Amino acid sequence: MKIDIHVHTKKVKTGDADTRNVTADRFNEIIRSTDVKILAITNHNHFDIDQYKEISESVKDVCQIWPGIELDIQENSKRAHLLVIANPKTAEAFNQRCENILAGQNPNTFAISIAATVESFEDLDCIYIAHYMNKTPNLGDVELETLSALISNPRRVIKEAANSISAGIFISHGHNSIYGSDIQDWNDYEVLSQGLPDLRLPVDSFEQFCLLLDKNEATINTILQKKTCDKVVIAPFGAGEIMTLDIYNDINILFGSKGTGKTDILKSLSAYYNSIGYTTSVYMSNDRHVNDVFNLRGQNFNVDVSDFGVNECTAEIESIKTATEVAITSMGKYRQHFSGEETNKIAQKLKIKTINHIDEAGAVRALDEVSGILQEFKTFQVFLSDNTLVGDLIEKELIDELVDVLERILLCLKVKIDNQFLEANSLKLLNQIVSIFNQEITKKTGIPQKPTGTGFTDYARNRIEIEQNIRKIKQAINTSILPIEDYAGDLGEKGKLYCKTSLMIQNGSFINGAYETVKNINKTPQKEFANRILSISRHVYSNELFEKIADLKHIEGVEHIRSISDLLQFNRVFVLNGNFYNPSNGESSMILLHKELTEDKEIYLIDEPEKSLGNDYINDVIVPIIKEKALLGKKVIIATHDANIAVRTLPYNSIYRLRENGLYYTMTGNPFFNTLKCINTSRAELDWKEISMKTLEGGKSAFGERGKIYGN
Amino acid sequence: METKTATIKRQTDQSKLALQGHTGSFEIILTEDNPNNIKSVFNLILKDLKNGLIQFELTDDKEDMYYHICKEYIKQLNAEMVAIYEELERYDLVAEEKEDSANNQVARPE
Repeated sequence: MKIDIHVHTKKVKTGDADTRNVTADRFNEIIRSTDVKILAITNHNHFDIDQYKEISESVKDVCQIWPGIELDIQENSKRAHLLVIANPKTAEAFNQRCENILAGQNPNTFAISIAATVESFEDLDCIYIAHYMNKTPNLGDVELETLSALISNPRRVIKEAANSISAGIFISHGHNSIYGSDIQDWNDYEVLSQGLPDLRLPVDSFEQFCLLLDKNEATINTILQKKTCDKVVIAPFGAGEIMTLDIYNDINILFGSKGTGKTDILKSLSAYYNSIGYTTSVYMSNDRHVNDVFNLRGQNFNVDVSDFGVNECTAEIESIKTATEVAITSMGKYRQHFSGEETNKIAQKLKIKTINHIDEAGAVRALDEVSGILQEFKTFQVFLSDNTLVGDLIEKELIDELVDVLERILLCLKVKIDNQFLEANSLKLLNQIVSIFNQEITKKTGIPQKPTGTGFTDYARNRIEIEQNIRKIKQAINTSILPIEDYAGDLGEKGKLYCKTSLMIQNGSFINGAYETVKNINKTPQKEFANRILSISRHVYSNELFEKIADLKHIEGVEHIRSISDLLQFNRVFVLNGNFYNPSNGESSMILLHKELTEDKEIYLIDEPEKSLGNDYINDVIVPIIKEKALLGKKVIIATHDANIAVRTLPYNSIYRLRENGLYYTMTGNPFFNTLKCINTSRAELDWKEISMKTLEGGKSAFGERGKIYGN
Repeated sequence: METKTATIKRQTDQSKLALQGHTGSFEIILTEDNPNNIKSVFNLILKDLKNGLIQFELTDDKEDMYYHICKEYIKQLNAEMVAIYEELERYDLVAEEKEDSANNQVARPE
């Protein structure tokens, strides 16, 4: 259904082309060859009521003609054009207002302020369409704000774009925009009309167009935002009653008396959409409690400390559990050696026996470090040669240069490795030779060999390793984990409800009966384990160290503690404004419905969302969310008895289930047309409003609001 | 590196090697096989090394068996202390006050 909100039927200004003049007969002929169903006559600073009536009459069976005028606006020292379009029912009054402002004025020089315009036309419930951006002469944002502020319903202000592309861009940025032909030559109209905008929903009156303006920011279809309709064939009541339903990517209301099968239809729609690849389910009010949905008991709740960046310390814990004391050299060995008198002359000459063992660890570590670096460079060399993309992206000369440098680095590292290898192995060999010589000398002379070391190195290394491990474990268990707060839902005026999961790592002193362990481990071994760790940390440099480690090993159930995650405890509660909160059943319904609607889905199937909910919550929270989903092009299918939902959401589609004389009928319609038609034409049409008033609960005010818009 | 004194205490019941560290003196009994005594001394030396590398120098005027034992023992111990001090430095265990500085952190979900 095409709409043209900017049409000239007369040459008014000196600069207007003669080809703007059109007779009623010619107009009639042209319009009948187009798909334009709504057209607003907007001549420059001029309204001809007689011509308007003549044209309207000639095309009344194919097209609505709305009275309008294109005014020259003088505002902030700026001249711009503004279309004012009125309800055809008020054409006479509109004409009178036009005469009032234009009396004695030359259309070529006429100009009016925004305030004067609004003062003249506001009570006629007009639409204001301002030339915008590249549609010149245009009103700026400041002037548009002035206009919006002066009129009672700012949604009646639309920005006129120069063409469909501009309008699409404006709409995608949240501006309500439209464009018209601004016809210069009526001979071109038939062709031009093909590019005119389509309304998103067919409307058959000025009032319905206003309703559409109130519903959507985008009144017209654009490439970016287009309402589509699925023809869905389902058989919710068996093969005997197959129904084809139009489901829009907007709000689809399913209503009717209790027991007419609305839930079955929702389930059937869910099955249909699942069968074609969507994942849908029917949300049933009061089906579950919020405590279960948010898993307040934490059944199967599982997290690891590593999820929060905390070291699991798996290797460290294992190392502590398996730590053993390292032997040291006894003084007796020194006494035995030095108490004997060496008489063997050869043995006296063998100076090698005086050499002490040299620590090999440093040399071995240095060898490992150089090996690691060498390996990294080799990996990079392989990456460079294997990756064809590198050659595509980087100049060959640069790569050749890099390859050359790499080879030189590798050569250098290989030399270093050779040296480190020699160093490490020569030390090892030397230590072995010294040991063998000492053993042989002992055998020959009977004098016990001299100890090769005090044992301090290994003893100290063992303690250092334990200290390092304990330090890491202590750091981990003393880490505070910030609570996880999941948004649960909006409780209206009370505030927003969050599901808060607090996590604690048992640090030896944590006691709270409200907390449960995350892993399958009892609290007692957790606490004992943490306390033993602290005890070990205090005894790293004492002779009791291994007694403390033994105490840890003897904790009942310690075998299940393998990482810091095994020390985790959690507590999950709802919080409102930072305080613990226990939602009532009604609030549970609020939260679950809110949660369902705020999940990002393509299709929402909701059964009786109003159950246990107050009107305020439905109006203030739920209806706006549903409208937003519709704007985003989601399919929202709601079975409801609530007028607030069925009416205030201004659905594209209402599906009514009627039981009459033992027969069931499915009828569809919408508030814009105000009719309900039987989908298989087996029953006469019904009045949407009448049926809605009769069937839907509450909501007199909802209909009152709708009435204001419709005028019926 | 600091050089500290080592002396031999010859007594009738037991003789000891007395080592002077940064924070106090440690005594190794020379006349008994007492691993716990040596471990205690090693523990003290290890803690002392965190305050800086030390090397012991034997001061004694007799050339008896105790002198030879202690001379050899100190020679070996000095070499071992150098290796361990390097490791303490490597693992950032030298300064005691740093030990708990990283505790009480706050972790957030990643």
